[in-house]
Amino acid sequence: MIRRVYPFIKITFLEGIRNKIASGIIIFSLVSMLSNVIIINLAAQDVGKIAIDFALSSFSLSGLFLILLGCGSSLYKDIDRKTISLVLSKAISRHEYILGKFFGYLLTLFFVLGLSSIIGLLTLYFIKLSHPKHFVAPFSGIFLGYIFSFLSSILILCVLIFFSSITTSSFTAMLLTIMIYFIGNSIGELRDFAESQAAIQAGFPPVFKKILLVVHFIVPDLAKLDLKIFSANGLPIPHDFIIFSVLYGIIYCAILILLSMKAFERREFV
Amino acid sequence: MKKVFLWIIILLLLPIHYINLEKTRLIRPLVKEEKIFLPESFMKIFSGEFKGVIADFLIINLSSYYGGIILEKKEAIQKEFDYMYRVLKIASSLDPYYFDIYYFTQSILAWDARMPDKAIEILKVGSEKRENDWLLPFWIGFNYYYFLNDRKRAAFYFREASKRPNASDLVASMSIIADYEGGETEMAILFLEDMIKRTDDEHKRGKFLIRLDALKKIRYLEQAVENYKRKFGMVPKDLNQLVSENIISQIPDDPYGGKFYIDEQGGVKTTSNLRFVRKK
Repeated sequence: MIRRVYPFIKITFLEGIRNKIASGIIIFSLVSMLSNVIIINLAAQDVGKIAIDFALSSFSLSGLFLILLGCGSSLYKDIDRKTISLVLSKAISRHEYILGKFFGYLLTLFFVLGLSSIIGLLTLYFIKLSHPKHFVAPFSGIFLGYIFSFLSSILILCVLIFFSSITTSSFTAMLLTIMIYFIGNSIGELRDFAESQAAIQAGFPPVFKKILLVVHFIVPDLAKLDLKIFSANGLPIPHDFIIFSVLYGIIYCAILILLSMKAFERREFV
Repeated sequence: MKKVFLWIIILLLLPIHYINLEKTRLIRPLVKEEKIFLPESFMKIFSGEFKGVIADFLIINLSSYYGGIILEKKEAIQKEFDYMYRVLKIASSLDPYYFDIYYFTQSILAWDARMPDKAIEILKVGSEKRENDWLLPFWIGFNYYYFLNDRKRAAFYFREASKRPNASDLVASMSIIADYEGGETEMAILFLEDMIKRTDDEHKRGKFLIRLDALKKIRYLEQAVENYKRKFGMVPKDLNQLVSENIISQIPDDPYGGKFYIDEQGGVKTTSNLRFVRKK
C-alpha cells in the first residue's frame, strides 16, 4: 500500500510547496518577525514574553492560512478537473486517496511551518541575546510551544479533510472548518464558564451545561494543544499533560481521517 | 509612452498623498481611545488561542494611553484611572502570568491613582499564579502597609514574599517590622526563629539574632504590661512603673541602642524602631 500511495503523497507535497500561498506564508513569517523586533521595544519589562507570544501567534496564523487557503481547494480541484477519476482508476483506492492527501498535506505543513518556525526561533534567539535580563523563558518550552501549535494545525487539517469529504463545495468545507476552529478554541473556556458561579447567577439554564458537554465531546478542544501562555511565561508544563494532550490530538486526528475515508467511499463524482 | 505616463501620474499622486496624510494627522479631532470591553469571562472565551497576544496588546495600548495623558495634562482623572483598572483586570484574566500587567498595576493604580484596593485585587491574581515571584506579594504587603495602614495584612504578605525564591532579605525584615508595629510580636518572633534555622549565612544569622533579642525583650515587656493591667486594671504610664511595682526587676536594654516605651495604645515600642540608632 505504501508503494502505491507514496507517489501520490509526493505529488500532493510538491503541489503544496509550489503553491504561491506557501511562499506567501514564508513572507508573512519574515514580516511578522521583523515586526516582532520592533514591537518588543514597547514592552515595559517582559520583553521575552511579548516576543514569544507574537512568534507563536503568527506561527499559528500561518498554519491556519496555509490549511484554509493552500489545502482547502486542492481536493475540490481534483474533482472539478476530473483528475480524481484518473487517480482512482489507477491502482489506488478511495481510502488510499484520502490517506495520500492527508500525508501529502502533512508534509507540506511540516516543510512550510518548519521554515516559519526556524525564522521565528532565530528571531527569538536574537531578541534573547539583545535583552538577556528580560527574556527568561527557556527555549525548550518555546520549542514545545511550536510543536503543539503544529499538532493543532494537523488537527485543523484533519477537520478540513473531513468536511471536504462530506460537502460538495470548498467554500462550505472552509466555512465549517473556520467555525470548528473558533468553537474548538473556546469550548473549554465556555464549559468552565457554564459550570462557574457567574453562569448560575446570570441565569444560564442547566441544560446549557449538558449541551456544552456534548459539543465538547464532538468538537476538537484546540485549547489543549495551545501552550503559548506556558511557553511565553516560561512556566513548567507537566509531563502527563503533554502525554495526554498529544494522545488526544493523535486519536482525534485518527478518528477524523477514518470518518473521512468512510464518507469518501460513498462520494459520487459527477 | 503609455507606461511612462502611468509612472508620471503615480509620481504626481505621491506628494498629494503625503500632504493628505500629514494634514489629516494634524487636524484630526482628538478622540479618547477608550474602548468598550466585554466582561472578563467573555473576553477569555472570544480570545481563543490569542489570549496571550491580546493581553500584550492591551498592556502596550494602556502604556501609550497613559503616556498620552501624562504628556497632555500631567495627570489622569478618576474616570481614566477607572478605565485603566478595567484594562488591567481584563489583561490579568487573559494571561495572569504576564508580569507587565502587575508592574503597571502597582505603578499606575497603587501609586498614581491611589487605588490600593483595586491594585491589591489584581496583584492577588498574579501572586497566586506567579508563585515563584516574590515581588507581587511584596507589593500587596506594601500597599497594605503604606496606603491602607493595615500592618497585620502587610506582615502576612511580606512573610509570604520572603518565603519565595530569591526574595530580598529586606522583605523578611519588613514582615518583622510590620508584625511589631501591628502588635504581633509573638508572630514576628516565631517567623524570625524559623529564618534563623533556615539561614546558613553567619552574617545574616548575627543580624537576625540581634533582632530576635530585641523582639523577645519587647515580648517580655508586653507580658509585664499585661500583668500590670490585670493587677491594677489600667495601663502603666511608663515602663518604670513596672519596676516600681516589682513586676519586673529592670527595663532591658534595646540591642539597637533605642529606649523601650509604652505608646498611646498601650503597646510596647522602641525609639530605635528595630534599626541601629546612630550615635551623635
